[in-house]
Amino acid sequence: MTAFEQWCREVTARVRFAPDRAAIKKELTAHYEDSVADFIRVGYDRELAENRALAAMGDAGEVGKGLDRAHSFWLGRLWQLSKWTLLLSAMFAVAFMYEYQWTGMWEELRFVPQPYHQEMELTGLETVMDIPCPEDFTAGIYDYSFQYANFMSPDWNFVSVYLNAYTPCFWMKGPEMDALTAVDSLGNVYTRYSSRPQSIFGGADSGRLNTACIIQITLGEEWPEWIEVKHETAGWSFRLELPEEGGTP
Amino acid sequence: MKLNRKQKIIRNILAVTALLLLTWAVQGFPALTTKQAVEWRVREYGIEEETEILYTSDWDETNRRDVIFRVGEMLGVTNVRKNAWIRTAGDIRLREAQSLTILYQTGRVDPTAILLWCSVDGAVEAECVVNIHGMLNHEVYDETYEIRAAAEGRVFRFPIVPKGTGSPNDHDELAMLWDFQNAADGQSDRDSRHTVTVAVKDVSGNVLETYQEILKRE
Repeated sequence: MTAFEQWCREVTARVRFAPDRAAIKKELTAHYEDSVADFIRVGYDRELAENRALAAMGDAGEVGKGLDRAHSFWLGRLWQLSKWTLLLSAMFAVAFMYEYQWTGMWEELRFVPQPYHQEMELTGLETVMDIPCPEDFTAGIYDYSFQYANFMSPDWNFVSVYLNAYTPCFWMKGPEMDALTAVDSLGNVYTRYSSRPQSIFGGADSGRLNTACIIQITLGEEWPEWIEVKHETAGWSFRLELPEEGGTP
Repeated sequence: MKLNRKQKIIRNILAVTALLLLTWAVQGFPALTTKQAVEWRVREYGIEEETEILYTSDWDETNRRDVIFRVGEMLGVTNVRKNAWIRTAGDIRLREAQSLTILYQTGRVDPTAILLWCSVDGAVEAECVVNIHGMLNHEVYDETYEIRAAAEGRVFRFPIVPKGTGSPNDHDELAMLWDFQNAADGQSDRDSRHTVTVAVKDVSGNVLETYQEILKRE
């Protein structure tokens, strides 16, 4: 082992972040060899040039201490940790993105409810009469806006209400609509899965920010003046004023 | 541009964050903890009040657990499912909190368990009698289950184990247990009348309080 190699080993031993030692050694060697070449160029023989160059490199202990400060152990460890975490995250992401479809996320986020009455016109469904919609309202994290309410058919006595729900909480799905009940002006109570003619059903076509909600109410034989729909858990309610039987709203 | 070590660390942290956010997004922004899944589900029901988790059962063999929580004056129960790091809460059932509150499991296809939230001091064991009664194939079906349970904190858990003996009639029992589950959710489509009676006892076996409720098609 040459004197320089011995010096170099002493210096790098003081650098606690071991992965940097090879690079430090390479840099010191390059610097030393440049220095030796300079001394030879001005007339020194090789041995003397090496001695002078080594002396010019300084005290191994002091140089090592300085390099240890420059190559911070904890910063180095943190850098290594960040590299491994990045690699693991990339593997994790690839594994999950390979299995799932990309398009679903964008479709849910970009989801904009379509106007239902236009859809019904397209499908040729008969709208017997429109019902004036109540005012829009806010409940929980959702802003509800009415889109359309109508009778689907006089034979079915079937009322449909379409409303849109908006929330900025993109991580949540649309509002849960299965907790609806209703009462009408005749005192009838409408529940889900009811064995009586009067029943109410709520559903939602879930987007992330916007959700299209539908409420379908099956009336009894007698036509009430109004129906009050209530969401049992959220607490919101609205009243639909129905037109006279056979009349216009 | 050559980055120094500090800049590389910042770059890597940002890249990790972006990758994890992207992974979360393509999964449909799922909840990551049981508490988070329940809280989000409660919000989806339009409830803004704070959700306090009172009880979580252990994960069962189908990676599901029951969760009892409180929102305002109401007690709720839901079922949280685990799929790798994703947690999903099912439907919730809310009931007004009483000294003895019966909570029916949600999200089950198989025979169910009944959960009892008990705020009676000194109750260490409880007994539950479930009578399943209804019409099945034009005949009266009647079966009773007696279940005992020890307290898990303030919760008693009564699993209903089918009495099936391997005969074809076992399907009747499962059908009626399924109806019981539906009746608890107000969805029964049979002429049935199921009765649940609970009694909580102290260490000496003295009955501290009893409660009965009937699940019947309206």
